Amino acid sequence: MPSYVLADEIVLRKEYFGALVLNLLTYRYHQFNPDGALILEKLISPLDFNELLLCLSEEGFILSREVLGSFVGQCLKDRIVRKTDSNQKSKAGIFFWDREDVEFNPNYLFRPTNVSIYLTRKCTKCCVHCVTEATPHEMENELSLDEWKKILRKLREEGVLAVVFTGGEPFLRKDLQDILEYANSLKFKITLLTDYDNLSVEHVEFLKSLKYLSGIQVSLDGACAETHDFLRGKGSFNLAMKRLNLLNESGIRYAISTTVHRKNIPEIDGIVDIYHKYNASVLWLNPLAPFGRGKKLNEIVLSNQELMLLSDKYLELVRSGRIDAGNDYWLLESELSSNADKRSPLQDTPNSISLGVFNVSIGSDGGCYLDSKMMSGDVLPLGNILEMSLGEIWNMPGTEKVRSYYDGNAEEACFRPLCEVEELADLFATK
Amino acid sequence: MKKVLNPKEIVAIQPQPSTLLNHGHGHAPAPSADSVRRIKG
Repeated sequence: MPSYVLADEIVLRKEYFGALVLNLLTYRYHQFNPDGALILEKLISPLDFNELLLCLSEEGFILSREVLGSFVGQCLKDRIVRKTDSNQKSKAGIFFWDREDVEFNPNYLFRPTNVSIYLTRKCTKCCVHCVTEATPHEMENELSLDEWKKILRKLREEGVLAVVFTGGEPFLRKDLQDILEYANSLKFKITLLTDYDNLSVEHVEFLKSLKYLSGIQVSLDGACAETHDFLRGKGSFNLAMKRLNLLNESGIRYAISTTVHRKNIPEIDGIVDIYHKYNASVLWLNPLAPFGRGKKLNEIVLSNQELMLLSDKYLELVRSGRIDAGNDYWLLESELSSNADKRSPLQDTPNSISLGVFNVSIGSDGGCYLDSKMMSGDVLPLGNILEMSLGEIWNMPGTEKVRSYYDGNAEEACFRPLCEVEELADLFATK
Repeated sequence: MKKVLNPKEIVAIQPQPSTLLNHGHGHAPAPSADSVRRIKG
């Protein structure tokens, strides 16, 4: 009889609802109730079916062979558990079990699942909509490789599952490869956002060598040079096309992200054609947000009505199978387009913030924010990750008030994350 | 008294991280399918 054991590429994290699982083979998240969490934890060591039943029974638990068989079968199908003939323990990452100092709050995750890391504010471009106001100039107070390694270790110890590297332009850091390799060695799910004009075959081959790189994201802000270059500067479109060609030929999994505004909204179909031509995996349509340098672009920020039209367009593209939006939401049975009372998730994105739900952003100096839009305003960072623990930052006074926007209004929050940037001034320290 | 176990995968209690890539600079996420299902019951 074969034994069952947690797959090595699983990260299992205890949470108030049971367990949160990230599968680094599929990059899918799963959530289990406490009973499921209890069984999964047993499978850190290989057990055959009868041994598992006996082990649970000895601890005072009862469940039928059918129920356990069904549970284990589903976990096998999702590649959370695997069959084995050896006695070797799983190499899965396990967090927050058997720790007496952990107090779970039933209203939100114990720690963020994702951390967005703004490695630098330096960039080759000077995009007119840049939230972080990146420029080609050298920036002060940027952290060293050793400091980023220390931060990554800290995030790993605190149970963070995924890191997103962005900037500025991450490739302008000479030590980017070292940072990415270090994150890979710690088994984070890694995503890289880049718009690097000098991206080479060698760069892409390096990225492909990272086992836990789930993908990269590049920008395309128009179907022609005039609109794309309007945001990103003259000559950017031609370089973007070369980059897409390189990514396509390399076979790396990548997403195209489009910042949608009044000037490029008529070009969505053209952008979809480019997405197909260059075999991108996912197309993100992100409405322009008037923050950072984008504050001056208010006249081209989409109105509510235009955002609803964009939502309908997105729905049509996803449901007709023309694009993958990278989020199952858009495949749901929904009345968005036919019910005027429904709100689109895109509708509030230009001005609202998804605060403290599963993400924290770390600036290039180590300053932490619940959302990168806060970097551009007058709101001070919650603290510096080099000086504080992630838990202290995640639970700073003020964050609970912001989360209450979500908790107290769950049905609305489904479509409306979560509060306006202007409201933050009342909750957090400002410059 | 023995406790009866009912192990199962549950629908999301929070909006889940995207299945592939995260958002760029501060774009609010669309909620996952599961979180919508939970709220709609």
